[in-house]
Amino acid sequence: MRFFALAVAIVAAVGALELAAAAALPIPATRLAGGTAAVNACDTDGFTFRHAADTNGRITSVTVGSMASTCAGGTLRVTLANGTTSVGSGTAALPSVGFTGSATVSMSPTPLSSGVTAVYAVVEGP
Amino acid sequence: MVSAFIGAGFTHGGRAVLLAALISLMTSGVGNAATLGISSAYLTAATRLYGAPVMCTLTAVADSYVDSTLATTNFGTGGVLNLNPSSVGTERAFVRFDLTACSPAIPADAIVQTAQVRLTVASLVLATRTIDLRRPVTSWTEVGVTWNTQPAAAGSVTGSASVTAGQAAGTVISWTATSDVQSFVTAAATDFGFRLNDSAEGGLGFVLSFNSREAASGRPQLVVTYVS
Repeated sequence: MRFFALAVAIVAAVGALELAAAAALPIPATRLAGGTAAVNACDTDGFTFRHAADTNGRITSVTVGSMASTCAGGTLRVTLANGTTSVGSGTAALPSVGFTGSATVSMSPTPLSSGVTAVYAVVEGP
Repeated sequence: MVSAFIGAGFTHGGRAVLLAALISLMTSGVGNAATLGISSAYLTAATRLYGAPVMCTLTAVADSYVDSTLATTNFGTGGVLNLNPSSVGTERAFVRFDLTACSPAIPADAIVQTAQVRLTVASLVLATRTIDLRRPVTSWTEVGVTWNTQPAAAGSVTGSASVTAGQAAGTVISWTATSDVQSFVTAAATDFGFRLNDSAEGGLGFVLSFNSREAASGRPQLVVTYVS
């Protein structure tokens, strides 16, 4: 059996709207390699959010709009939070073809609307 | 393969800022080499932070009731809203509010925490009943709606409330309408107000009267609490 230890420390220093670089860092065993790398944003002017609630006052879905066409093909993740605590989340695949700039994500679990103080959305490219 | 979401930062107001990196750590499993690489073509994050709840109380801007035995008569200027389950004189009420009158205005991305339609009993309740609140799906006018012209209502009940025999005039009855108001705010549904009807129309029944917006007091209200 082969054992080896690998420790990786990553410092992501992000202070600009967009950082662009590709990274492929060979890591020799028993050594530590660190670096910064970032990817482009597919949208830089913000998203819109629309909520839907059921008759019990629970948020069942969030529609994210105003996404740029360059986000097509990505994965949209939405999290509803109460403070720093996630109270609901969901994921939707953004179609590569026919993307309208809007997508609705079903929430699970469905939090009471009175317990939501923030909504976060992330689009990750393919 | 191990994937790690390294970080994401956000700004207020829904503006997106790229502040994240998705790192895939891939180990070859052969020898003792490993490669660290970026697996995503792009990554974008956005956030919407909500402030303190705001309460908005609206008085009806239109209301009326309709009667199956007076199928072409409009009651929009009357002082009461009648409901009756009777098969020989079914009565339903309609009420509408102007959500744009809330100040500050309710933005489309607001979260409606609660919304309640409140009607005030106009005269002694003679029978215990359940009254359903529904969303009309087409328009109606206060001085035009009649039994024959009443709009259809959504199939699902938005909320129900019970009135109890013996309840006195002045008693306030509330229906939860959070889901409908949320859909009005986002424009997922058009705001044609609400319809109220007995949950078991048919057979015999007593008239149940609520104050209309023409009454001196106890007018229909919509109380909305939202965050934006």
